[in-house]
Amino acid sequence: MQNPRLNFWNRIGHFRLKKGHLLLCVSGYWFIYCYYAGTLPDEIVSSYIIPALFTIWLLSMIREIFFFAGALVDKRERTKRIFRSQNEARSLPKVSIIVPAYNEEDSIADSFHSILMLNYPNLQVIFVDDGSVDRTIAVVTEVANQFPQVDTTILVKPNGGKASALNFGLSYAHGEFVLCVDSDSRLDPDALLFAVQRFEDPEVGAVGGFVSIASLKNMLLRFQQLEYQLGLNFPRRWMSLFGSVTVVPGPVGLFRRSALQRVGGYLVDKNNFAEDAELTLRLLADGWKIHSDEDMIAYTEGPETLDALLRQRYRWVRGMYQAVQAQHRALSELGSFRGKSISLYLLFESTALPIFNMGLMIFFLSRFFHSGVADVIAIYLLYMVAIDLCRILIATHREGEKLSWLFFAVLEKPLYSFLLQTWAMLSLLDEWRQEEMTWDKLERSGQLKSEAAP
Amino acid sequence: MNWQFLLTSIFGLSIFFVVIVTVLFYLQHRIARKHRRNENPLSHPTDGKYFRRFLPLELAARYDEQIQNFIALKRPHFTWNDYKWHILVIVGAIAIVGRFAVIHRYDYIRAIDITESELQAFSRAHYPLQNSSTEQLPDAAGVLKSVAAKTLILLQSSNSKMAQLAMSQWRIWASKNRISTRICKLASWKQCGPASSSLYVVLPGLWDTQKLDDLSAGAASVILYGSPLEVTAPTSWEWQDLKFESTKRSSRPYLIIAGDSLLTLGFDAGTIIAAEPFANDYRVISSAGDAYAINSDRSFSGTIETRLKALTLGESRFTWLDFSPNLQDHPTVIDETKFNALWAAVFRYLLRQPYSAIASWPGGAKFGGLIAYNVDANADRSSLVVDLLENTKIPITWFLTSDLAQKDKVLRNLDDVGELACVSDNKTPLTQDPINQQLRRLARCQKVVLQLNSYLPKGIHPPEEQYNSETLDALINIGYSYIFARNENDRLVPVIQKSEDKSKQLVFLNRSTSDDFQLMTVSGLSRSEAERRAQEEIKWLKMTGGLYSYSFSSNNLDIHHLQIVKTIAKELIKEKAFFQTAKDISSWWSYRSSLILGLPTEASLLEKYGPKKLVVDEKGKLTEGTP
Repeated sequence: MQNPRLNFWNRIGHFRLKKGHLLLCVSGYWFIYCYYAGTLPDEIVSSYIIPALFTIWLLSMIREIFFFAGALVDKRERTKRIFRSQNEARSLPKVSIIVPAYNEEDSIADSFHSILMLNYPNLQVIFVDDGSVDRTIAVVTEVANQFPQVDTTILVKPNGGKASALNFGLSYAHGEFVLCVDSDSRLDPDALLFAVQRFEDPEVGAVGGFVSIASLKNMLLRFQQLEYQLGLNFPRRWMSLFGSVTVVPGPVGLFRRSALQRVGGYLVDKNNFAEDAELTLRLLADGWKIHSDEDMIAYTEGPETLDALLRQRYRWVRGMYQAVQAQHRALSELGSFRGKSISLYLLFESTALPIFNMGLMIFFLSRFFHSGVADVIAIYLLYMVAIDLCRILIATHREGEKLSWLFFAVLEKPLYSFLLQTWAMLSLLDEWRQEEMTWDKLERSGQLKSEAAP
Repeated sequence: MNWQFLLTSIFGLSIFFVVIVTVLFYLQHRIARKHRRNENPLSHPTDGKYFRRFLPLELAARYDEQIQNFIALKRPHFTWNDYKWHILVIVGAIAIVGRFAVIHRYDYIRAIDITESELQAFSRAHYPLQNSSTEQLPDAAGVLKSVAAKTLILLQSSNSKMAQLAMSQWRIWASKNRISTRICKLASWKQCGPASSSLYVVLPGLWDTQKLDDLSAGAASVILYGSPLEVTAPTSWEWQDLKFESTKRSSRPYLIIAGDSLLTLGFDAGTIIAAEPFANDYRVISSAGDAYAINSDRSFSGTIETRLKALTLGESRFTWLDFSPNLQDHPTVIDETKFNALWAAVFRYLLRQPYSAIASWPGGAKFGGLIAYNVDANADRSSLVVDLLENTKIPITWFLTSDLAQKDKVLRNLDDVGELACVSDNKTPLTQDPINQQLRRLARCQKVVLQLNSYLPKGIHPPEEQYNSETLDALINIGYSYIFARNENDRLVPVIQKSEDKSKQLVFLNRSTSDDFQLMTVSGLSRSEAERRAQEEIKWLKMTGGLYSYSFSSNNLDIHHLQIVKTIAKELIKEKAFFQTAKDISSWWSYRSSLILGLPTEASLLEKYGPKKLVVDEKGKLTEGTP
């Protein structure tokens, strides 16, 4: 961040060229050139631009095909697991659930209740109060007293952040597996029952849950739900087949305790903006497989305003990019095809795709403003909508989702998706310009309290 | 209203709006960060490490003061400095959208199109076209009869291999045509027979200029064949207007005919004949020849080498040439008719037979010239051309697409800027379309230009210069009169193609010289280099008497490029070219053809172009008319 006390000339003197500046200049030049000339010179377009864009498009298309295949294969796996759960009398392993909270007296009762009501017989619940100054402890104690059959531990520590609270709770956990949740997440009753079966493979280090928006009271939240469902949860099915899920979401993640302890738990660092992604990549880099389970559902709050949403995504994009930068080398050095694939996939997702999207956007807009044709934008949009429609149809087929989502998918692309793509690129530009970053925190409204999640 | 474009605009602008809103949010985000830069995220009681929490009312009072401070931090006072980027983005976005609205303001108007009834009214008749020659070639058989009455005297001056080869070529030719021959020494040519009944061929050898001067004084008819042996020396050999220079093997083996010259009057200028030279170790430079050396691909650059030249010296007539009279000595691609006609023209001249022809270009012009302007991308730059024409009145032919003509303010109001002609409705090649679609596209262009500019286009410069027989049928049925393209024309002047019943015709204006794309983009020449290349090509076209055409496009148009156009125009005027619009040139060529074929002509053209009748006597003296 620039120092406001410096005047213009001093700022120029303090200016240091970074790759973000270069990218910004190249993009600006590209737009201005295309804006006036209609398109880049034929030689450049045919020799560089088209092959590069085509390659990235082809990779994204291959990715989509894998996602579809993954979703369909994963359905068969799920059926088998449910069948086993219903027919095999087994002793289920102990699961320690760590619930960190800070000043949550307003929403903790419902979410803690949902944890204690989990349809799972062998639980240890560890509540970690991260230095709350309200009645959080009292509320939690009251709820816990209603469930004497559940082994509940309530811990209090000075405020230190979510990562430190989770690590603190981890030191008291004695379950074979540890479920980390957000204090405002409300869990589905069957969240654990099927998920623990994923650990039959000793190489599995963690299982990520599926996050869903609790309240869909405005269009923005609906778009987010669509994005969670199609953009985040859908690809995880494919990744899960190979134990290569790249983010165990913060609201709900089940870990093998030994794996967590081996990698040192959560990273406590004020500059770590995506602690869940960072931990996941560290586990992958340590050689663990990571699955996801669609029955491990957490209902959470989504940002209700555009401003809040964009601030959240700013953290996600930069946090994810930082985590990838920190771990991709370790992943590629694992020596396995899986490690290299994950490393490449992460670089593709976190770097190549945003640049690709920005390049396309510049190309579209400059062409549109120069020639008055929007054919390429329309084709690209139709392509994206078509992919979403396929995803929705598969989701409908798998989970009985409503077909009315189709309507939102058509609206989502030109409005929400282009907005987030542009935002992702701007966030990355900040990252590449090494702009200082702070936690622009999400303001919670207590959706879970006011509207009961299913 | 053009609803399709309106919807496209709404769609495109809405995406742009989304992007701009995102950028504004980003700027807002930066300001927010800036004002909280030094704030400890955990300093506020309602801020957790990862969320700012809901604060119950009963607890709010405890934090009132701190919350007020926090709000003050969140909402800093407005300063212009904070919002300078917002303002810049908003102004930039408005400027971009405004420019878009201005540029495309005509796109919102429904496009002028051909109605179904108009389309159906066009004939779909098929006209197989054939070249209608405007050449007035000499009667080879008749001329040879006259030659047979003479004795062919082969004048030797050396016994070299070259001389022997040349002699054998001529003896074979004479024997084939039953012409009596005699062999003499050049030094004693007078003893070989009377000059009036002889035709002398000076074979390659030691050409004594004194003897050649004697020949010129003796009312002789002489063919100088090949080269003097002195040419092998480092110094050149000169006689009259012929300068022989030693050189490496020629890279230009073919012969291109200069129009309207002593020998080739009646031939189309720029006709290429694959007559290879007798020898390759020399070249001939002269001020003006009757044919020149050229490649089969017609590259108009470098020194202009003469291959055929007539000299009238006193009472004598000389022809220097360097190609064998026997057809079998030349490549098989050679056009036999033209080859024989060329030799007939040589003998016709030497035998002093009278002949006449309509000149290639009117008004005493030696060659034709046209400048064509293609409106392509960056059509808005056409205003530069309009400004140029206001000052210079250069006869430029505008080739427009109807799509662009409707969208650009300048192109909608072209008045007194030269000729307006068509490309099509857009730049997509016509050949991909069936005849109905081609008819629609070509007619639409004509209709748009007529409606917007009150000018009926008569010419076409097809997209990508591609056309097929259906295109030609469509052009004839719509009423176009000429087509301007780089076609397979084998000469440098226009060609007329007529239907079998001669009722329909199209003039093909061949584009044989470099255009702006070749000069500036392909060859990568600077302005001055491009001007020099263009001047070189003009010189070539002037020497051969063909049609020089320069085509430039709006694509890369700028003031420097316009300077090239001005230079070319000046050069064409300076060299006294028939410098007109494409329509005038095609109109002249069509009129000339009618005169040659004895067909009725328009009175206005007769008044405009003549011809004037000039009569000369046997000695070449003008006896009637004024040139």
